[in-house]
Amino acid sequence: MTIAPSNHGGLNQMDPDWAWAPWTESAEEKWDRARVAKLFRRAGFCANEDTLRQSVADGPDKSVDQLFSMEGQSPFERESDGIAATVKATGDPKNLVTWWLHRIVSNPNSLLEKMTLFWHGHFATSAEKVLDVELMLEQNQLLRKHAIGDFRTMIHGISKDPAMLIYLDSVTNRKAHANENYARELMELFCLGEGNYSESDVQQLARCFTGWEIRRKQFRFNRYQHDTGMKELLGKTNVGSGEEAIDRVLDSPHLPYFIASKLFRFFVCDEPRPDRTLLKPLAERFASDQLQIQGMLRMLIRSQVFLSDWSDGRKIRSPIDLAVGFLTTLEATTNLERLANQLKEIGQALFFPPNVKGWDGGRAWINSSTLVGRANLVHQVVRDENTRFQSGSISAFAANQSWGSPEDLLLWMEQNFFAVAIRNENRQAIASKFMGKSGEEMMKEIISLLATFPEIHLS
Amino acid sequence: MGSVGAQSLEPRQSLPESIAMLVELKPSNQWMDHPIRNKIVASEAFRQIWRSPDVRKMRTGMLVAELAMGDSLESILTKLTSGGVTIAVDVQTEGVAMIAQSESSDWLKEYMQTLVNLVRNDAKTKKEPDPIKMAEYRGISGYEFQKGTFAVIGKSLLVTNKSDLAKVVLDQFLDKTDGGLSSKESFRDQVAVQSARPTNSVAWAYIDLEEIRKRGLAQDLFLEKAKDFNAELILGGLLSTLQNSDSASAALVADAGSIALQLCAPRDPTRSEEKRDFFFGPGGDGAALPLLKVDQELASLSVYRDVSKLWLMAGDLFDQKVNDQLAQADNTLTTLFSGRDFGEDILGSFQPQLRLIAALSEREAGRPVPAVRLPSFALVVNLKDSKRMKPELKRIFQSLVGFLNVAGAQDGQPQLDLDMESFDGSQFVMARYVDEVDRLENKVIPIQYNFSPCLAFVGDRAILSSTVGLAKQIAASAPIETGLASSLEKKNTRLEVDAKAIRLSLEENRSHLVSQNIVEKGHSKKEAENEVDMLFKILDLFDKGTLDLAFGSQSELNVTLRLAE
Repeated sequence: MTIAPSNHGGLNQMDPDWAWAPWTESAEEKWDRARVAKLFRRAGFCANEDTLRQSVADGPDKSVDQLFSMEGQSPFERESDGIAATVKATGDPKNLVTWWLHRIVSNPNSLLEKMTLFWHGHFATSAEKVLDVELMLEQNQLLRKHAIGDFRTMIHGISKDPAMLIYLDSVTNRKAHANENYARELMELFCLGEGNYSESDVQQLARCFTGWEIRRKQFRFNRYQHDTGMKELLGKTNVGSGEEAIDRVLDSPHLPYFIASKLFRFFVCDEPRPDRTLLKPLAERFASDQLQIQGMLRMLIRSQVFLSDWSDGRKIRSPIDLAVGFLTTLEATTNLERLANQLKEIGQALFFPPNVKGWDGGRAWINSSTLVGRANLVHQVVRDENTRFQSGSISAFAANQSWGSPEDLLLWMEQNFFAVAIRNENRQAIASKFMGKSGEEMMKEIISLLATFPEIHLS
Repeated sequence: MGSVGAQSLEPRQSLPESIAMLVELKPSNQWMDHPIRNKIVASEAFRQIWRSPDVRKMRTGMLVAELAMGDSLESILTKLTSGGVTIAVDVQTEGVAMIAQSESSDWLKEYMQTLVNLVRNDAKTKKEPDPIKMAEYRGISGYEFQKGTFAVIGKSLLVTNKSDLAKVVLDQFLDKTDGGLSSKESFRDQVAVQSARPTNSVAWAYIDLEEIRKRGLAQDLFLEKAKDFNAELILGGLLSTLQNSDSASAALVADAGSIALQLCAPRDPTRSEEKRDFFFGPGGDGAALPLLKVDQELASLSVYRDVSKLWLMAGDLFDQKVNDQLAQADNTLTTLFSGRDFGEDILGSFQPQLRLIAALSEREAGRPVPAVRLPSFALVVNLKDSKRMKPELKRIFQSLVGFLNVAGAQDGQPQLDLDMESFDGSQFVMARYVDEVDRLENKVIPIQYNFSPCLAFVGDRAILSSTVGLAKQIAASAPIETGLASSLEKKNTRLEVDAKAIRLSLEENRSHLVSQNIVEKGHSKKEAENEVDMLFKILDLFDKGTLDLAFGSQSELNVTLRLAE
C-alpha cells in the first residue's frame, strides 16, 4: 500500500512512483530560495548568494543540469595540480587533507567533489595504514574520474588500486592459500551487501584474485600464483580470471539496490533505510544504464523525494558539510591547514576514515564532544586572522548583502544556510541581545552564537 | 595650552629618575632625508606596498587630513620633530611620555590649535560633546583628549597617557631639581658609552634592567633556570648579561649602505656564573673561529659553545622538565654510542668552537632532482683526540645509515648506498639515496633526494654535512685548524647571512611557496603569487646581514643589514 506524499509518515510506505517522479512546483511547494539552498546543500556544499539567486531564476531543470556541468574546470585544475605537486613533494599524507579541502572549497563543480567524498566513504582507505601520498592521491583521482561515470570501470580500477590492496592487507594473493580479504569486502561493502552472497562465493572469488599483487607500489599479475582452475561464483560456473569474476559480481541483481540504497542515505535521509520497493525505480534505472552513475544520480537529485519538503532536515550535516557549507555561503576563505585539524577533532579527517566501512554518518556525527567542537569550529573560523569574506571583512560583506540589522543577518543565514527555521526563542534571544548594535564584532558574535543552535546541524 | 617663556623641555633633565626605558630619535632631517630611507622608498617592494589596496585606503585618509591641516603629513612630521623625539616609559606612574622638539614655538602653537579645532569641528558635525578638555598645572595649560594629556612648552610638545606623569615632568622642568634622569648613575654610564661611539646614529635607547627586574617585568628573561634548551644554547650568555647588568643601551646606526643595531651592557666578570662557562669559556675568554666560506653560501655561523659543559651542567642550567628530557636523551644517545657517556666522552671530544654553514645545493649530474629543493648544511667541529675519535664517529655514522635503511624500508622509503673516498689525507664516508630504476616519468622525486649525508675528516676537523658536495667544498676551501684553535678577533658568536642566496633558494621553490600560501591563507593563486613575489622584492633590498656577539668589559651585540647596491 502506498500513501499520499503529503503524509510525512513512514518512509517505506511512500509511493515509489511519486518518490522518483521529477519534482514539480505546486501551490504548497515553490521553487524558491529555500529549495534552491537545499539543492546545493545536499548535492554540493551550499552556494553563495549569486548562485542561489541565479538558480531561483533558472528553475529546477537548468539548475540540476548546471550541477553536472564541467565548465570552468581547467584553471581550477591547474591550481589544484600545483598544490598536489607540493603535497607529493612533502611526502606526508596528512598534507593531502588540505589539498582535497582546497578542491572541495574551490571546485566550481561541487557535485563532483561531493560524489568523490561519497565514494571515498564507500571505498574507505586510510592513509594511516597506506602511508604513501602518491598512492592515496592516485586512488582519490580514480574515484573522482569515475565519480559520476561508469561504476563498472571504477570497480575494476579500485580492485587493482595499490592503496586499496595495501589497506586491505592484499598485496599478495597466492594460489596455495587464497587471500579472502579483498574478495569479502568487494561483495560485502562495495557491491552487494551482507546476505547477498555466501561464504563459498568469498572463497571462489578469492581464488579468482590469486596472482593479483602489489609490487613497488604498482599492480601486477603474477601468473605463476594464479589458480587457473574453474570457479563457481554467485551461481555461475566457469569463472576464471579476476576481471571475469568482478563482472560476475557486477551482474548480480542485488548490486543496483545496494548502491541505490547507499546513495539514498547519503543524499536523502539518514534514517530509516529504504526498502527495495521504494528503491526499485532508482535501481532499475542504474541497471538499465549499464551501471552508468549519472542517470541514476540525476534521477535522484531531480526527484520529489529529494527536492520536496518531505526530506527537509532528515540528514545531519557531516563536519565537512558544516564547515565548507559555512565558508561557501559566506564566500569565505580561511587557513585550510587549521580547518583540516579542526575537522579531524570533530570526526572527519579526509583520507583517514575510521575503518573499512568508512564514516557511519547520521546521528554518529553528533555526541557531547563533537557538538562543542562543531560550535568551536565555526567560532574559530570566523575569528581566524586568515579568514576573509569576499576577500575582505565581514562588515564589508554585510554591506554587500544589505544587512542593516542583526535581524537581517539572521534571516539571511536562515534562508541561505539553515535547513529548518531557527526556533523563535533562539531568534528572539539574539535579536534582543544585539538590538541596535552593529559592526564587525557584533556580526562575528552572532555567527558564533548561531553555531550553538541545534538547527544548524540539520541538512 | 600654555608656555613658559621661550624655554623648551630638555627630556634628559625633565624626565624623572623612575624612567625604565627611553628611546631618542635624532632630529627629523637626519632620518627623513637619509640615503637608506630614500633607497627603501625608491625600491620596487615599497612601490608595490604603496599601491596595495590597504595602503591606498590609508592614503585617502591621509589626504583628507592633509587638506584639513593645510600641509602635507610628511612636512608636519618634519617640522614637529625637527629637534628630535624622545619616548620614555615610567615605572612609577606606569605611564608613557613622548616629547617632540619642533622647529619653532609659534609653529607648534598654531599646529596644535588647528588640530584642536579640527577635532572639535568633527565632534560638532557628529553632534557629539566636546571631546577636548582644558587642563592647567602650575600655570601651564594643556589639553586632555581621550586618554592623552598634551602640553606645549616652548618648542616642545609633551604627550603622556597618564596625567600624573605629565605633572612629574612639569615639576622637574619648573623646579629644575637634581633628581632627573640625567642624574641617574646607570643612565650617565650608558650616555658615556654612547658618546664614545660613531656619531651617525639615528636613534638611541636606554633600558634600566635593574628597575625592570625589580618590578617583575619580562620574567622569562630573568629565570634562574631556563625552560628552553635551544634558547639557552644560543642566547645563554646574553641572558646572563641581562640578569647581571644594571642597564643596557642600544643605538641604531645608519650610513649610506647599511643599517646597524648596536646593543651594549656593562659586564662584570666577577658576577659571571660558572654554570655559563659553556658560553663564555674559561675566564670569559671563549672566542669563535673565523666563519667558513663556500660558494653560494646562504648563512655561516661560528660560535664558542662548550656543548659538553652545557650537557654536564644541565642540572644547574635547566628546570626539571628539560632535565628529565635530557636524561632520557642521554640514555638513548649513550646506547647509540656503544655505552660511551654522551656528554663526557662524545661531546667532550669536540673542541668548543662550532661552525655551521648552509649553502645552495649543487645538483650532481645524473642524480634525480627532488621536487622541493632544500639547501645543504654542515656542522664543522675540531676533535680533541682525532686519532681515537675518527674510527668511533665513522662507525656510528655507518650504523646510523644502516638504521635509516631498515626503518625506511618498512615504510617504502628510498634506500641509502654507503661509500667511502680518501684523497689528500681527507676521508669521506658518504651515503647517497639510490635512484629507482623503473621510476615512472610522472612520479615526484621525494624530498630525501636533497640529502647525501656525509661525514668527512680533514686533519683534526670533522665535517658532518647533509650533502657530499658541501662536505667536499668545506674540506677544499677552509684552512685546517689544529688543537685548540685560536681566534683572530675575540667574538663569541658570528653570523653572516646572504640575502641574495636566500632569495635564490626560495625562488627554486616558488611554486611550492605559492601553493603553501593558498592553503595557509586561503588566498587565490594570484594573491598568493603577489605575496610570494613581494617577499622576493623585500629580499632584493638587502645584500648581507651580519651578527656579532662579544664579551669584554661590555657585552656587545651588533646586528648589521647591508642594503643591495
